[in-house]
Amino acid sequence: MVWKLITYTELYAPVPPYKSTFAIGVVEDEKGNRVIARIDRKYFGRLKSNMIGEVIDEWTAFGALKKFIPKEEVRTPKVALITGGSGGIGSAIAIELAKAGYAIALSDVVYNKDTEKTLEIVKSLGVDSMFVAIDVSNRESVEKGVSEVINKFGRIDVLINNAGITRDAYLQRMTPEDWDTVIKINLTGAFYCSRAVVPHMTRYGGGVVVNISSIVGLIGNVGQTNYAASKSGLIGITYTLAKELAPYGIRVVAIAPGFVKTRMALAVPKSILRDYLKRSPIPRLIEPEEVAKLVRHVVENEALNGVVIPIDLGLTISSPRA
Amino acid sequence: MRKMRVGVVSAYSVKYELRSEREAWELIREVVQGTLKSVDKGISGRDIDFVVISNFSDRFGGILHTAPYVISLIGQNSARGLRVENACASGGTALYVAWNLVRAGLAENVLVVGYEKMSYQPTSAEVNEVLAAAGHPDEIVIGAPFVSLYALIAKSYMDKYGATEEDLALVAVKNHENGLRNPLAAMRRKITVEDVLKSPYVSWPLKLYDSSLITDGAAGFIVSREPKKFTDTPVYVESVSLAHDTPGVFERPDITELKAIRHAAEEAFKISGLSVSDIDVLEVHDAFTISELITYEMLGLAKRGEGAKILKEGVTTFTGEKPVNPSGGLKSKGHPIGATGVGMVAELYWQLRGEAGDRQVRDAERGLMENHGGTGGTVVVAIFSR
Repeated sequence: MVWKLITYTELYAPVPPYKSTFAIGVVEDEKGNRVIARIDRKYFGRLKSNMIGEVIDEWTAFGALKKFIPKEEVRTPKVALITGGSGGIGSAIAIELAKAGYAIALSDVVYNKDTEKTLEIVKSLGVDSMFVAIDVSNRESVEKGVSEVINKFGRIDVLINNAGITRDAYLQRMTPEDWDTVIKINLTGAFYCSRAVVPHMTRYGGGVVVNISSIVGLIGNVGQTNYAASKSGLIGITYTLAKELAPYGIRVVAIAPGFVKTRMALAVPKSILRDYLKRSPIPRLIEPEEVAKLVRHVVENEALNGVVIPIDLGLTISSPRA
Repeated sequence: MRKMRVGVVSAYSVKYELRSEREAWELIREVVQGTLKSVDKGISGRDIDFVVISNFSDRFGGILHTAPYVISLIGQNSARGLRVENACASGGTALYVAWNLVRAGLAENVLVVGYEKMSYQPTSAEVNEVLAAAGHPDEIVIGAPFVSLYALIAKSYMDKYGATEEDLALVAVKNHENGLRNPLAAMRRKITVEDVLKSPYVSWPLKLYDSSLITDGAAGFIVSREPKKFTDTPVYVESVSLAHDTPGVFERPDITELKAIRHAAEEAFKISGLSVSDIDVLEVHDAFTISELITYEMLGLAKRGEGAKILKEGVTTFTGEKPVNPSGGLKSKGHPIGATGVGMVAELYWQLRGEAGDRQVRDAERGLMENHGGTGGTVVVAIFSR
């Protein structure tokens, strides 16, 4: 039986008992019989009157409902925005998500050789890409940057809150400026970016926010009061938004890497780094690509929400807590 | 034999509020006492022989079985009473029942009380879940809140007649402008078309500012078989008509039509011997902006598809030829479900007696109310004259 979509609406306000966003359509068969049907939110922004499709019955605890599945699906490539995307983990994530077919919006505070190199690789993988200058610690800059991405790609499906810095010092030597700068970039930046991106995700039926935290946010680290607080804060954001945004089809997950082979980790004094590696069951640094693969898995596995996933070669279980 | 003219002899309303500190029974008590006290020549509780209560859900106030409570408040143990529920048209339905009881000789003086304390639910999501129970069973099962059902109507209307989101916004702007003049309105705030367009979509193409207010409120009035006994200036009930349509939007051959409004209006005009050209002021059910535009067309104020045209021409503004919702309507005054239709009667009572203060429509002699439930599955149209 062929059904035609007569009229439709996209519901953005989750209402009990389903507590979920979805589209609703009035559909008609060849004989003129009409039913009201649910349409999955993944079709947000892609529905059109007179679309053809099929109607199936779906069991729910609240009753059997009709579901309309459009036949002539309008395909739009999904878009990932990665902050701090020029080098290190950000660059590896951009490349991995490009391999998965995502259009890439690479953002960083400046455009440099690393950015150029990353974008070249992304382009060679056959997906659309753009660079967008965003200072995540500045709300106006974030909103302007997100608008630029929306203007070019029309949507954002994945946000990787990756931008981060360190300003390490023991407590008494850590200046209030060091504290503020790290918190503003690592933590407030994720808040600004999530706040700016989420309405667009809602508009297109959902998305995934991945916060790049750190094992330091779980177990602490001497000399990193500011960094540890910012990375713990990201875990708090993750737990909260995972609850708050689930009804809109948005999942939020944190990844907590151990020492990854990036400039940031290599800047750690060698003696300290060696000391950590000695404690690790697998005494080596993690490759950025290994973190990127986990991010891709999180993006693709729709059962993951509101969790912190360590990727640390077993360092967490071997670290002394006091 | 002289034709019996049933008249409204008193009306009262609390100020509608987004979140009242008071319990539902406290709102009811104020309205009962206020309505009795507002009778020009005075009325005794003993004069009331019937009570009709309008209320949608006990999940909006936590109380049911309110007829004996109201009867005890008026001190009239021999009166009888009942509660009516016809979704958002419960208030209009209460008028319909009261008017017919008096006409049938089953009652002399009927006290009608409408109330709803919607803030009894913790969030607007829960409020919408309660309201959704007024849909067709298939609409309930798929989880369609009313904003979505009206959005289906709005989308069809925009497709068919080329109406725009700006056209819908004009209704909200007009009614908020009117609400500024009404001390009983829950949200006395001037808004612009831009404000409406910038407000977030709730169910595309309808936005937050296209939607009426979740409100706590209560209102009351008394209809009498011998109105002159209680006031020299009653407001006569010329006709009350109740009509139904299929409850499901999807079942209607033309989704852009709210045909029960047309049917109820035709009957109300026929009974009263009046036409839309005789009406000076209207209170209509602007649950969502789209419903006011379609209501213009169903009542005969505008041709099909030209609802927005007459609004842009100023016909329905406060100083226009046919002012619609001088109270601010459901959009600005508020929409406490069970009280809404009752409050419309109160508003027209004050308008036709020249007691509406800053919002008084000049020389208003005849008024019309249109109160609908669901997506127009039940409609009450009533015509009043001074």
